[in-house]
Amino acid sequence: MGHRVEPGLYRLGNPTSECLVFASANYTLSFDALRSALAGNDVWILVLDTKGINVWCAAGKGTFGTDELVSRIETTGLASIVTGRKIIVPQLGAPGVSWPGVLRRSVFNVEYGPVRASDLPAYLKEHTATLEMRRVRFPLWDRIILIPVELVQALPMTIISVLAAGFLLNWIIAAQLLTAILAGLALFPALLPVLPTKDFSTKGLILGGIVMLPFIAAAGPAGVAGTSLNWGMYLISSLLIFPTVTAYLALNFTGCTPFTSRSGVRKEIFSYIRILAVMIIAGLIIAGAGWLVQAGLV
Amino acid sequence: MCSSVCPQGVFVPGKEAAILAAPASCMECGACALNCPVQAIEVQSGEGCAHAMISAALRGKDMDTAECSCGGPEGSCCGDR
Repeated sequence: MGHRVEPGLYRLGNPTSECLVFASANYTLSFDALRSALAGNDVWILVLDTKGINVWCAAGKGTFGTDELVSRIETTGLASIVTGRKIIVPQLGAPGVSWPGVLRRSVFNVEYGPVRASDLPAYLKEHTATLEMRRVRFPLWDRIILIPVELVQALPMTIISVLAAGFLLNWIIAAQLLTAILAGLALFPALLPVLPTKDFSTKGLILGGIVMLPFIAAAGPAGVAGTSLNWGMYLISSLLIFPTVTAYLALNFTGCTPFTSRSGVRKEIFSYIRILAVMIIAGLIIAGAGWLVQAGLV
Repeated sequence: MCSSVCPQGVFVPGKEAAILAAPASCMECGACALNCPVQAIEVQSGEGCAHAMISAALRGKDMDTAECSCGGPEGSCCGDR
């Protein structure tokens, strides 16, 4: 049960029946964040059974929700343990918890605390949340820490495709493929807000195009050693094939952000998947045609 | 209430009712709709994850109800939250 906490009612410090009640998910990191933010206070913590999942994800799924909160209040007998009728719920529990619903079905009034547990001390002191406490941002650090997991997950596919490109074609193409992949997985998250255009796919295309420029410049009009393509063909096929890879990886980053919407992502998929497919196929055809011409076969 | 639960600042409190200040920022989490005391809001909530939607489409399932299995100890597609 390494990452889960047993659901139920917990004491932090020595709370009396007049002390505050806070709700938490039963994911250890959620529970620990709450406990350390409230350290030194005497409070009650009601841990909901969210199957070991953090507050926001569980709220989206419904497990950190009205039903579970009401049920946990009942099974712990919270109403007879505390005299207060307020329970402080993390703001990111709101997609799953209905305060009118909880009020109707239990005697408790949900009060939404700040997004981050670390803001709780200030919140409790001022009895109010600032606007910033109620916002989820996606700053550079939060984007960058996702990169290692992205890289590890893509590792098998990356190794296979880059090695295949190297052995079957040549190592310059393998290097281009590796660059396109790394641009999509590592550079894109870091540069997300500064890349032009609104859609992840187009941002990815632009970034993918930019990282191809050194290869194109290094090739020069004399042709690229080992690719047997003249420079024009190389330029066109490089800009059609590899940025598509970066763009596809960029599109898949949408699930890692705390601000993309289902309808927005749906629109983006339908707008760009076909374009990306056409681009990569056209690029492969042009590259193939160029190779045939150079090889004197056509 | 909607302005208090929205993590993206879509609503601001108005004189008689909340004002829809930034609809483009909406991530469709549904917190506002669920917590409106007069049920004045309707949201078709879902996951804004291309990976989940594309996987669902490729398996012949409905893209709009694509499930996200991230967020817990088993890890996620995008890191620990």
